[in-house]
Amino acid sequence: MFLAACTKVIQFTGEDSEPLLVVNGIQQVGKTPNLMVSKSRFFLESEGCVYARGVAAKLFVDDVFVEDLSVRDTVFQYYSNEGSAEMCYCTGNYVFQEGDRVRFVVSSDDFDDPVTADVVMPAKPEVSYFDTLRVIVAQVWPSYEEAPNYYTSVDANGNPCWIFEWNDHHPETGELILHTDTIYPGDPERLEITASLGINDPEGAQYYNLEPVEGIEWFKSSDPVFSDFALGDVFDGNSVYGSRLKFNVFSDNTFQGALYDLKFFWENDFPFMRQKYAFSLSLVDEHCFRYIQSYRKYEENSWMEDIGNLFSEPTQVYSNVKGGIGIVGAQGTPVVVEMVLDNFK
Amino acid sequence: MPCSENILILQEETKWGMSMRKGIVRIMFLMLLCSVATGFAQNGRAQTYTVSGYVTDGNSKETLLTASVYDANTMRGSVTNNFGYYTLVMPAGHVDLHASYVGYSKYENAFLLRCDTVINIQLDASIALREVAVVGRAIENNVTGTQMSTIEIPILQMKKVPAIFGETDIIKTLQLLPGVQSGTEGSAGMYVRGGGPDENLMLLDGVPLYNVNHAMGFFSAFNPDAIKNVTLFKGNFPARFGGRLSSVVDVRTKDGDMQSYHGNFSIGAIAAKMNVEGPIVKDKTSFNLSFRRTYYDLLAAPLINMIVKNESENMEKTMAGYYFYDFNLKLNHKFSDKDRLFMSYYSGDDRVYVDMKEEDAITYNNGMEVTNVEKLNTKWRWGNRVAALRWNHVVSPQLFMNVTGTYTQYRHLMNVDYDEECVVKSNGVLLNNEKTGYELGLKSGIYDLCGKVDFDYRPHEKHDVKFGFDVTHHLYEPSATAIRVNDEYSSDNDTNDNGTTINLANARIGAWETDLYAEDNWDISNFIKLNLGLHYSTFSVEGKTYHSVQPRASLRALASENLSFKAGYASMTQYIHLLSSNTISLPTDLWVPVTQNLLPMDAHQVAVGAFYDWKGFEFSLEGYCKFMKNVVEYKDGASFFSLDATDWQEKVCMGDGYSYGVEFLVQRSVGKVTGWLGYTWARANRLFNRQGQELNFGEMFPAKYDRRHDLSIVLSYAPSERFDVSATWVYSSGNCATLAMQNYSGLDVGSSIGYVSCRNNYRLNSYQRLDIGVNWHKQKKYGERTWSLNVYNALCHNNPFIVYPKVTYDYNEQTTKKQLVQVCIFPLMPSLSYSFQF
Repeated sequence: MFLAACTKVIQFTGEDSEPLLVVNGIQQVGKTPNLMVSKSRFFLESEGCVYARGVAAKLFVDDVFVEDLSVRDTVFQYYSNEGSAEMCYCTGNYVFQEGDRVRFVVSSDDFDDPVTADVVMPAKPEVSYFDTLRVIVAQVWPSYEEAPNYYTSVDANGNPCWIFEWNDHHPETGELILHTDTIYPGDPERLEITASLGINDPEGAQYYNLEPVEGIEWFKSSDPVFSDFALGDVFDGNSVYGSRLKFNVFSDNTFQGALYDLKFFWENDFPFMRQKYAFSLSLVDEHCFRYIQSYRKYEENSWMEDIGNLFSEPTQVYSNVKGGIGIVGAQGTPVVVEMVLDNFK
Repeated sequence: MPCSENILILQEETKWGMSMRKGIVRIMFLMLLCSVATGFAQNGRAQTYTVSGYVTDGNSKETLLTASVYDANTMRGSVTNNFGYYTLVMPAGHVDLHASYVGYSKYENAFLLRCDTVINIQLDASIALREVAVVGRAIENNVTGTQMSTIEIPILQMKKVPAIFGETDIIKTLQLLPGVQSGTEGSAGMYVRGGGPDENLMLLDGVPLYNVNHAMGFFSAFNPDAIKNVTLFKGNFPARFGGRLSSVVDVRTKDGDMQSYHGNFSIGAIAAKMNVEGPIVKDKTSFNLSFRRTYYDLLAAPLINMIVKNESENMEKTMAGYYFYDFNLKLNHKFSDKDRLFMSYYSGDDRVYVDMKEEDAITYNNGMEVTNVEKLNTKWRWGNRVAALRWNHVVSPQLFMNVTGTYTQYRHLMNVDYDEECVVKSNGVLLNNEKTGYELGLKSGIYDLCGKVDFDYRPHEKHDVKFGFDVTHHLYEPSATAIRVNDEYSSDNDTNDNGTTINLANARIGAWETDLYAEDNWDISNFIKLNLGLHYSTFSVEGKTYHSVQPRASLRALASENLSFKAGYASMTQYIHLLSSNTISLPTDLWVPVTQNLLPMDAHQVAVGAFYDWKGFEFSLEGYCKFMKNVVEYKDGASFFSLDATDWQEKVCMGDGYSYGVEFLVQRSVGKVTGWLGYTWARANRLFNRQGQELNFGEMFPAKYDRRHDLSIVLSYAPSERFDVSATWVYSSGNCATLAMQNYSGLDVGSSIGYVSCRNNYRLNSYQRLDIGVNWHKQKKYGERTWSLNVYNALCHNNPFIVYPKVTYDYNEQTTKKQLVQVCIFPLMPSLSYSFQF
C-alpha cells in the first residue's frame, strides 16, 4: 500500500513563520549585566539574517529604571550547520546584588514590540560541613586486579571521597549548581577524572552513585541535570581554578529547606600525583534551571530528531523571554572549597 | 503560551468535582436503594405477573438483541438483553403484546394475563433487508430510551459502507459517527470525545480484546461475517461496563443457525474470507465458523524468490511475507428454554516471516575448499486469543442469570536467528569450521483469566434491574528480550565456544481486578425515566489496592411523543495504559498496568441532549464535558521505539485531560435512501503540570487528536434488489503535530535550537475523503452472488499521513533548500471483490 503513497510540498503560512527576538544571558551576583541579542530564523529557511537591527536594552531593578545597556554590534560570529550569523552584545555598569528583582526590556527596529525578561538574583548557599576523611563505601572497582593503577576513589584504602553538607536555608529560592574543578602540578590534560555525584537519599539513607550518563535517571520527582562540560561557556566557573570544569545542576525540590549531603567520588588514573581539587557551589534561579534541564534533554534527543524519529515528541527548550525567545537566567555568588591531596604516593 | 489562564479555573473545578463526587455517590446509592425498594413495595400492592421469553429470528432461530417487546395498551415494555431474553412485569388483565426489530415484521399477540407466562417470539424478516439501516426501535428508541451517547449499527448497514480494499471494517464505520475520530489516514484507531486510543473497551461477546488492529491499524480485527450486532457507548455508560474511560464497543457474534446450513465466502483485493453456520443438532446445537486471511504474501512469494535469485545466484532459498488472519468459532447449545450454553473462540494474528539461505562455495587450485553458508530466519507475530464459556440460566421468569468464564491473551513474539558457517577443507580434510551468529528474541503480552456473573432482574413493571460481579486476574509481561551470540570454532585439534546469552526483562506483573455493579432502569412516570447505577471496582497490584466507586445516572424527560431531553453523568476508572506511538498501531505497543507510581485514570463526563423523531428521520443534539485524571503521555523525546533498557515507567508522565464538544446526528433508517449525517465540534486539551512530570512546561496544550470540526455523511441508495450504491464523505480539521517553527541561538554561542512554542502547535491540513461503493447482486441456483466495486478517496484528495521537513542540497548552486513535505498514502484506491452467499 505504501507503493501508492505520494508526497506534496506544503506551502506554510501563519504567524509562526515570522522571526522572534532572541535574548540570552546569565546574570551573576557581583557582576555587571550582559545579554546577547539576535533574532530567530524560520525553520524552512536555510539562510537568512539573524542579526537584529537597532537593538536597545533597558535594565530595571526592583521596578526602578537603572540604565540603558550599551550595545556592541557584531560581536559574535559563529558558524554552524545553519551558516554564520551575527549578534549584538549588550552590557551595563550596574553590579547585581543578592535578591535583586531584575527586568530587562529589549527592543529592536525589526520588531514592533519590545520583549521582557524577569529574573531574581539568587542568594549564596551555605556549606556547613566539608569532610575529607569519611569513608562511605568500601568498594573495589571490578577491573582493579587487571589494572593496578586504576582505583575507585571510594575504596576503603584511602582513596578520596568527600562530603558536602549543604544546609538549604532558602527553601523559597534557588536551584543548585555545582562546579567540580581540579588543578595539580604537571600537565592538566593528563588527568582523567570522571566526576560522579551522589546524594544522600533522605528516605532510604542510601547513596546513589550517579554516573554522568545515567544521572538523570536516578531521580523520580526532581530530575537533577548532570551537565558535564556543556555549560562552560555559560556559567562563571571560577576559571582561576583551571579549565576542567564539570557542572551538576540539581532541582531545588530535591533539597528544599533541608540538610543534605553531597558525596563525590571518581576514578583516578593518576593516584601517584599531588592534586588540588576545588568545588564551587552556587545557586541559579528557576528559569535558568529549567533552561538547563530542557536543553540537556534537547541535546540528548537531537540526534533522534535529526534522523527523523517519527515516534517521539520533539523536546521543548525553556524560554522566559516574554514576546520573544531565549533565556535570561541568574547565578548567585559561589561558595568555593579547595583541597590538596598528596597522600597518593 | 496557550490557555494558561484556564488552568487555575480548571484546577478549582477539579477540586470541586472531587468533593462533589463523594456526595453524588452517596445520593445515587440511596436513590438506587430507594428505587429497588419502591419496586418491591409496589410489586406487593397489585397482582402482577411476568411475561418472559426469547426473541429470535423465525428462520435461523438466531437470538435478536435489543428487540422491543411491549404492551401496546400501556406502552410499557423492555428490550431484549444480549442473549435475546426479555422479561415484562404487568398487572393481570388484557395484554396486547408487541415485538419489533429493525428489518423484521412486527409481532402482535393479545391475550389475558392470569399467570406467569413464557412466550418465545419469532420474528420474520419480511421487510426487504436492503432497505433497512441504522437504528430503529419502538421502545427504548432515539426519543424514548434513557440511554444517550449510544449508537447501534446493524452489521448489514456496516457492510454497505464503502471500505478500503473492499474490507468492511467495524471500527472505520464507527469513526464515521459524531464524537468518534480516527487517527491518521487509514488507521483503525478510535478517539472518542477527546480520549486516547487505549480508552476504548472493545468487547467481543463480552470479553475484552486488547489488540483490535491488523496491519499497523489499517484493518480491524473484527471479521464482519462473524458479527451480529455492534453497539457503541461513548458516554453515560451503563453501570455494567467499566475499565475504560472513553467508550465501550460491544460486539456480539452470531450464535449459528439452528435450522439449516448456510454461509458465504468472498474474495477481495487483499483478503479472502468465509463463514459457515448451521445446526449440529437441529433446534438444539448450532455452530458459526468464520475465517479470514490476507493472501498477498502467497502471491508475492514466488515473485520475491525470483527477484532475489536474479540478484544473487548463491541465494538458495528466500521466503518472506506478511499476512494476518482471524478465526472465529461459536458453539451454541440449548438444553431447554431455561438453559443455554455458549462456547466462543477467537484467534487473530499478524505474522511476518523471512527465511533466507545463501551458500557460497569456492574451490582453489591447491585443493582448498571454502564454503560459506548464511541463514536468516525471522518470525514475528502478534495477536489475540480469546475464549469464553457462557451459561445462560432463567432462574425464574423475573430473573435471568449469565455465568461466564473467559480467557484473553495478547502476545507479541519476535525471533530473529542469524547463523553463518565457514568450513575450510583441504583435499577433503576439515581444517576448521567456524560458526558465528546471533539470535534475538522479544516477547511481551498480557494474559487475563476472568469469571463473571450477571443478572437481569425485573421486580416490577417500572423497574429493570441489572447487577453482577466479576473477578479478573491479569498477568502483564511488559517486555522480555533474550540475545544469544554464537561464536564457535573447531578445527582438527581444537574446539572453542565463546557464545554468550543475555536476558533483559521487565518483571512480570500480576494483578487482581474485581468489579461489582448494579443499575436500575426506572420508569418514574410516562414522561420521566431514570437510569441509576453504581460500579465499584478494585485493582490490586504490587501490594497496593486501588478502589473506585463510579456512579452513573441518566435521565430522560419526554416533552412529546417525538421529542425528549436527556441528561447524564458517568464516572469511569481505567487501570491499564497503552504505551504506543499515538500515530499508528504497532506490535510494540505495550499494555501496562497501573503501578505504585502510575495511578489509575479517572474520567467524569456530563452530557445533555435533545432527541427528536420526524417522518422517519431521527435527530439528536448532544453536548458533553469530560474531565480525565491521570492520563499518560510520553515525556519529551521519549519513545517506545528506543533501544535502551529504561524502565517504561520512566518514559511516561501523568496529567489531566479536558474535553468538551457538541455532536449532531440525523439519520434515516428505513427506505430506499438511508444513512446519516454527523457533525462534531470539539476541543480536547491536556495539562501536565505535576511536579517532575511537566509537559509543555506545565501549560495546557491541545491533545494530539484535538479536532475542531468533524463532518461525516453516509448515504445508501437501493433502487432494486439487484443493485445498491453508497457513498461516504468525510471532512475533518487536521490533526496536531509538534514542529519547531523557529531556529535560534542558545546560550552556547554557535548552538542552534529548534523553538517549539507549544506541544502540538502545528495543525496538519484538513482531511477530506469521498468513498463510493457499488454492489451488484444476482440470485443464482445455490445462492446469491455479489460483485462489489469500492473506490476509496475517489476525489484523490491528498490527505496527510505524516509531515516532515525535507532538506535538499543543490550542488551547482551550493545551497540548501528546506521544504515541508506531506505524505499521502491512499491517493485513490479502487478495489473489486466477489462474494457468494448460500
